[in-house]
Amino acid sequence: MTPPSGLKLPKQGQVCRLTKSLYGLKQASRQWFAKLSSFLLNLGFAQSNSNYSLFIHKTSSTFTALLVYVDDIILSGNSMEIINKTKGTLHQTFRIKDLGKLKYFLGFEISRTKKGIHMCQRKYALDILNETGMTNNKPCQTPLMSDTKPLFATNNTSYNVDSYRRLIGKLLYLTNSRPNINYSVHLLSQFVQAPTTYHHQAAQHILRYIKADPGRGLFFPRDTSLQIKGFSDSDWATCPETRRSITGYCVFLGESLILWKSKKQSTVSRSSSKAEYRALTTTSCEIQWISYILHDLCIQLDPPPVLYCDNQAARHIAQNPSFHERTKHIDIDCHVIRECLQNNLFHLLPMSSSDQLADIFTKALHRTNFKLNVHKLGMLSIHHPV
Amino acid sequence: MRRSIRDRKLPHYLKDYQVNGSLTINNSCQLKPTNQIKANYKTAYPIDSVVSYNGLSKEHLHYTLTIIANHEPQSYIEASKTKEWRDAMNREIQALENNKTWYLTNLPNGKKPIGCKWVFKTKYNSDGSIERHKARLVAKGYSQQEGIDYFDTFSPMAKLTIVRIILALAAAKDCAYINLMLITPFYMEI
Repeated sequence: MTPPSGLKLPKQGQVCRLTKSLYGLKQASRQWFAKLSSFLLNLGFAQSNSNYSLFIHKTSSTFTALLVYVDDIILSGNSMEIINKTKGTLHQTFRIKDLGKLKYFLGFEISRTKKGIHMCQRKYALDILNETGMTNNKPCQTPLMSDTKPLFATNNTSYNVDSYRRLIGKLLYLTNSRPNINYSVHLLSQFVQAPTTYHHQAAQHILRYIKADPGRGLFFPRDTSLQIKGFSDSDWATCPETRRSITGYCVFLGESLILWKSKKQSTVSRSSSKAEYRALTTTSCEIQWISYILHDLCIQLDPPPVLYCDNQAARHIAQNPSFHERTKHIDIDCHVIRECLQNNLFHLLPMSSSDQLADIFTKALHRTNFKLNVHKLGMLSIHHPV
Repeated sequence: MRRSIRDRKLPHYLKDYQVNGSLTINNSCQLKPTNQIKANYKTAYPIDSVVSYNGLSKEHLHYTLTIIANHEPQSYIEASKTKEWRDAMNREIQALENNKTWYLTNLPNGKKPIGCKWVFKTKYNSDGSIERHKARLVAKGYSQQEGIDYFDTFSPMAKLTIVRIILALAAAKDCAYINLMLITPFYMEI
């Protein structure tokens, strides 16, 4: 390694031969994790199979979960005694620092009140606004311009590619506490290859929407059941170039939103019910994963998870294991959901389209609908002017 | 869209006020905009019309304000001008040498050294006061070649979904949660 600036060298032209791993080396993180996990396993923690960075320790009455994010650790549990003990043993082997109650983690600001926990990325949002010079622009009420068709039009005026990509990358991280901009960022991120001025305008529109409420984030209420509720939706053949459909889903734990996504499907669907059926399958896989994690965390899945779908045909294909003339070509992996339903892993329930919460992940909604939907997702702001 | 280029002047009745949407802290640690009047001179849409800290508790307000008010040097040259950062770099070099992380040698023929750089961070206590200045030396691992310089990689990164699940459960079940951070830089045998 080239010697660091500031190191006094006895002779010019020498280099440092590393005998130990240093931050930034490719192998550093793997070696670190191997050391930490073997230490935790010795302590009696068990590594979760659903996520390798989650460690769980349980006795008859107590329960402790430990979550690792490189060198940040969250310890959570119902007994302060065990938490303190674990902290003590960790401190003997590694030098750790107790940051106290979780407040700032990976750029998320977390605050706790009697009603629940609020999580937002206010500082991150303000930093993006500052960097792009958008702090003085007029706030707006929806993240997308009403007309999304020109996004797909090819005109030649290309725009600064680097800054556009950087901005999209930042917005992608911001979606982690703001599901309301998820669809719009998903749409704009399809054009990072060759952005035009129109895409840039659309990105600025998102920033103006963020400016309207930088402190908005997810709220996890205290009084809630622990039932998993999934909402699955799809938009049929929206992409004018490939005619593929968009899957959108969100998963709630009681009243708290924990997982969402919008993604363009990998194949073309000939009818809306097939698109919905594909979306259902994706959502059911996610629900399975969440229920495995909750099982690891010793949470009783009672009542069992439910999955809501507003498309009657898709529900029928999933529920009746009969062979249809027109579903011959549906790939075998789409029948995952049939197996889940036969094993009673969750219930598939109908719902009216007007109550569909996953709508916001599949299309650009009108202002009034958008506001209503955001409210239903459990997003609020503690920084809003009264 | 074309904007007017006419020179804008502050109205007379505002000449005794400080306007531009700036924020000040008065003695009772409460934030309020310096002017309550809607008129604004340069900024058409000031940020404080959309973010307000009035609803926050005193402790949370301090914390909130501190994480946005900081300056960290970006380069070695910038940092070497300040005593705190020089001390921090000395501490880091001392720690690395105590751990015998490297020894000095001549570069073998036909090899290229990988680069390194300094990263500077200010660390805060949970109440927002400055805890320490931290300088860390990082290797520029991107120039390493697979199979020659390293073999396996893996990052223990938790899915953010799991973070949300844990928070949602902590809220619903009244669990305690704390955040630990490992401050020993990890030095391990290559």
